Amino acid sequence: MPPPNTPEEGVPAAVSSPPARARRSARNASISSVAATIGSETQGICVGSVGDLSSRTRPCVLPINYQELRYESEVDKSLECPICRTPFSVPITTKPCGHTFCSVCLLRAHQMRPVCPIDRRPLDIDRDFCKARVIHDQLDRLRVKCPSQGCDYVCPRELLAVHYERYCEGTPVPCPDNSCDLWIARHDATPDKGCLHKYTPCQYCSKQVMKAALEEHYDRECSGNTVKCAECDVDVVQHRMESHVVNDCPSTVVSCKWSSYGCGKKAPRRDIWAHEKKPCVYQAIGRLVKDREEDRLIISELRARLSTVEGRLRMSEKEKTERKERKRRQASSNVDNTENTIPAFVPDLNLSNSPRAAASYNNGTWDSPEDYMLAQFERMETQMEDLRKNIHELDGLHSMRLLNDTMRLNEQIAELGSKVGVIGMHTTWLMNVQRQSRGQQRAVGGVGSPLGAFASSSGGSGATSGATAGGVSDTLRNAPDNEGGRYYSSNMPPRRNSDGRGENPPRL
Amino acid sequence: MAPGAQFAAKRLGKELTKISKGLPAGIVLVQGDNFEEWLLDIQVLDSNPLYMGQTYRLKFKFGSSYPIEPPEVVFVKLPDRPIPIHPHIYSNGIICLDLLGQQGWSPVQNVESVCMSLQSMLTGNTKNERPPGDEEFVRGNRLRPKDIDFYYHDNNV
Repeated sequence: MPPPNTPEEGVPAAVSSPPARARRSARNASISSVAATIGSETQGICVGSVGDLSSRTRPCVLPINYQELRYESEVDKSLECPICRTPFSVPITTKPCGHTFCSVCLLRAHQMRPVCPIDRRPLDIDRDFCKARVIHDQLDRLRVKCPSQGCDYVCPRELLAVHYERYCEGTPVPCPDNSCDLWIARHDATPDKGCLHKYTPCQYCSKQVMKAALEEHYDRECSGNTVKCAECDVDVVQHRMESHVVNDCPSTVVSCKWSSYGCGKKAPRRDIWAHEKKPCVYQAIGRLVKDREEDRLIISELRARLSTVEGRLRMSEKEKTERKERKRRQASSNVDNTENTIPAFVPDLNLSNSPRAAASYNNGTWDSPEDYMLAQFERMETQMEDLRKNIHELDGLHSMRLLNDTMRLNEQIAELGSKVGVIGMHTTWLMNVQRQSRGQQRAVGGVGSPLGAFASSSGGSGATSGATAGGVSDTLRNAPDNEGGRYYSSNMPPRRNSDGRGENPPRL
Repeated sequence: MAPGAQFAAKRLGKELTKISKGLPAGIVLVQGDNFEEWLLDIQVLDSNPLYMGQTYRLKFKFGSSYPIEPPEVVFVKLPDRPIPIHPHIYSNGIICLDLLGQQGWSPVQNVESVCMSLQSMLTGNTKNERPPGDEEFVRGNRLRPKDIDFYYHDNNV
C-alpha cells in the first residue's frame, strides 16, 4: 500500500487527463471519478464524503483522515484550506487565480458551482488545477500527532503514514473475525481474542457493552462496579482495586520512603505520610546520598571524557616527537630504518597476535593497547577517506572518458545509418529502372503489356517520393524489413564491411 | 451520521474555537452548543438612526453539507430583539441576500463573515421600509428560506 503522501503525484494527472470523450459526454461523471481517484489514492481522505470506498475494497488499516489530525504546534494560517479550515490535505491550486484548497474540498465545492470559491472565477475541472508542490513540502514538515488512540507518537507529516500503517500498535485494523466489518486497534486484533465487537453484559452493571470498550466503560460510565475499599472506606472501581491497595489505599501497611537509608518504620500509609512530612530523620541522609549518587555519576562521566582528551593529547605529542626524531635522523644519516622509527604508524591488521604491535606499546611508545588501537583506527579512517576520494576522482574520470567515447561512436553510427538509408534509396531506384527497362524489352518483344504498365507506374511513384520508396521496394522484393541496414539483404551483397573502428564510414 | 455531517461538524468546531478567541465588535455568540443551530446577536455600531441602540438576533441553521451549501440565516423576533427594518428583510425575519443563496454562497464564507455582511448591509441602508409585497409574502410563505426563489436585482444595499 503506498503511503498517502506519495500518490498525490497522481492527482493532477487525474484532474487534467481524463479522456476527451468522457470530458464532453458527462461532466458530472468525470468530476466524481476524479474525486474517487483522489479518494482512493490518498487512502480515502474523508472517505465518507467521497463515496463508500471502504466497503468495496477494504484497506488493511483504517485510512488516515488528514483533516482530523492534531498538530504539535499551531499551524500557520496560510497552510489552512479556506473551506475546511484545517491544514491542507493534497493541496491543489487553481491555475487562473492561484488559490489553494484541499483537493477534496475544492471538488466538493466545484460540484456545487464550477467557480473558484474565493473569487468566483469559472474553473474547468480538467484544465484549471495544478498541484501545489511548495505547499505540499511545507505540509510534509509539519509535526503531527499519531491519530491512533493511546499513541503519543509525534513525527513529521510525511513520515506519519509509515508509522501509522506499519508500526503503531493502536492503528485500527479490520476485525480478525471475517463476518465483522468494524475496526479494532492492532494490539487487540489477535485471532485468539476473537471479535471484540460483540456486545456482552457488563459484569457489574449488566449493561450491554462492546468487548473492546469494556475498559473505558468501567472507568467512565459503569455505575455498578464501584465498591467500598474494606480498609479505607473509599469508593473504588472494582477492577482497579488491586492497584488501589498497592498504590493509594491509606490503610495499607507500607514502609517509609527512606527505608533504604536506614529508616525502619513500617505503618499504614496515612501514618507514613505524616511520618514523612514530620520529617523522617533519615530524610536528610537520604537526600545527601541521592545527591552524592548524582555527583558520582557526573564525576565518572567527566573522568571518562578527561581520559579520552588526555589520550588524544598524548597521541598528538607522540606524533610530534616522532616527526622531530625522524627529521633529525634523516638529517644526520640517510639510513632508512622506518621499521624501528615509526612502528606505531604502520597499519597492522593482525594486531592481536602481532609481536610488533605488542612490542610497540610495551616498549613505551603507547601507554595502553587501547591508545595504540585508537591511533591505528584514526589512521585507518584517514586512509579510508583518502581512498574514498581517489575512488570518486577515478569514477568521475572514467565516466567522462566513457561519455566521450560513446559520443564519438554514436555520431558515427548515426552517420552510417543515414548513409545506409541513402544506399537503400539508390538501390530501389536502380531496381525500378531495371524492372522498367525489362518491361519495355518485353513490351517491345510483344509479350504482355499490363505487367509492364504496372511496373512502370509503381516505379514512377517509387522514384518520385523518397520516403515511400523504401516501402514499395520492400513489397516488391518480399523482404519485409524497414531497417535501413537491411536494404542490401538478399539479392545485393554489402559492398564493403567497415570493420576498422576509428576509420571513417565508407564514402558513397 | 450523514456522510458530510462529520465534515460540517469538523468545520463548525474550527469556527467555534476561532469565535471563542474573539469576534468583531457588535457580534456576540449567544448559543453554539451543537452543530445544527447557532444563535448570534448583532448590533449596528455607527449612528444610523434606523438601527441605533438595537440588538438583533440571528438564527443560523447548518445543513450536513455546510460549508459547501449555505446555512439558513434568519432574524428571530423576541420581545427585546426586533426584526430590523430593511428593504431586503421581510418582517418574518427572512433575508433576501444573494450571499445566502445557492448562487451567491461560497464555501470560504463562515458565520463571522455572514454576520459582518449583514452588519454592513444594515449600516448602508437609509430606507425605512420593508420589501415590496411584504405582507402577502409573510402571510402566504410556507417555504424554507433556502427554497424561496429570490430575484436579486438591487445592488445598492
